[in-house]
Amino acid sequence: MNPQLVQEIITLIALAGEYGTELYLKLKAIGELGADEQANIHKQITDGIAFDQSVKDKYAQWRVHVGLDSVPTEPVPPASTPAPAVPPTPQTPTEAAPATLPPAVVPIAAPAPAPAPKVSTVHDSSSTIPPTEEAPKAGSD
Amino acid sequence: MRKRLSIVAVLLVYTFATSSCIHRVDNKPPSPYEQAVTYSTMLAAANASIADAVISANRSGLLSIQETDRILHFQSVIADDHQRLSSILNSGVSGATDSAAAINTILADIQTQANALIAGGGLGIKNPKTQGTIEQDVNSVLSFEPLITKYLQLAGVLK
Repeated sequence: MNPQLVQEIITLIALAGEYGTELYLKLKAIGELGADEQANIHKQITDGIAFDQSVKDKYAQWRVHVGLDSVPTEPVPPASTPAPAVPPTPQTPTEAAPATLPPAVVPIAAPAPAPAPKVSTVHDSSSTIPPTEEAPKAGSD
Repeated sequence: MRKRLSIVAVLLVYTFATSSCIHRVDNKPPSPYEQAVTYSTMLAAANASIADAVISANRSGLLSIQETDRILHFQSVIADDHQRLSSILNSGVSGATDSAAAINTILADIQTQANALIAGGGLGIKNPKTQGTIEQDVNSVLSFEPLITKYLQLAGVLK
C-alpha cells in the first residue's frame, strides 16, 4: 500500500471517530488472509454468515426490546449446538461402580469423536455453513 | 455532525475497498475468487456494524422505532441475501460458476432493494438530516457489491 494512501486513510479515521475506526479495523482484519487459499475462503464464508446471523439476531432482540414483538421469538436453543455429539461413554455393566477402578481397567478415554473420514459423504449438520444446492453427492465422479 | 461522520465513514470504506487492502501473510497475491469472497465478508461486516449504529441511534432518540424497524428490516434482508450468496460461494469456483445466474440475482436484489429504499423514500424518515445519514450508511454497504462482481468476473464465475 502506498504511503500516501495510508496517510489518507489515517486522516479519514481521525475524522470518522469511533464508529469509522471500529469499522476500519474490522475490515482491515478481514483483509488479512492466511497462506492457504481454501482455508481463507472457508473462514471468510463462515465469518460472513456469522455477521449475517448477528444482524438478524440483533434485529429480533431489538424488536422484543422495544415491544414490537411481545414474545421472545422462540426459546432458541443454541442453533449450532449439535445434539448428542458425544458418543455414549462406554460403561461397564452398571452396579459395579466402585469408588476406585480395578487396576486392570485402564480408563480408556471415550472414543474420541472419530476424525471424520476425508471423504465425508453423508451429511454435515455440524457445519455452520448452510449446504449449497449443489453440494457434491456421495461418490460423485 | 452525524451526517458528516457518516460521509467520512463511507469515504473510509471506499478508500479501503479500492486500495487492495486484502493481502496474504505469504505475500502471494490473493486469487480473484479469494478477493471476491473477502469483499463479500466485508459487506456483511459493514452491514452488521451499521445495524449496531442504527440501534444505537434509536436508543439515543435520533431514530424513531418505525424508522429503525424499516432500516433494520432492510438490513435483515441484506443479511438473508448475503447468506444465500455465501452458500453458493462456498461451493467453490466451479460450483459458483454453475450458479452464476443465482449470484447475479442476489447481487441485483441487494442493489435494487437499497436503491428502492433510498430513492423511493422507503426509509420514510422525516428528518432530512437523518435520511441523509442513513442513505450514506446504506451506500457504504453497497460499495462492496461492485467489488464482489468485479472479482467474480475476474475469477471467471460471472461473465
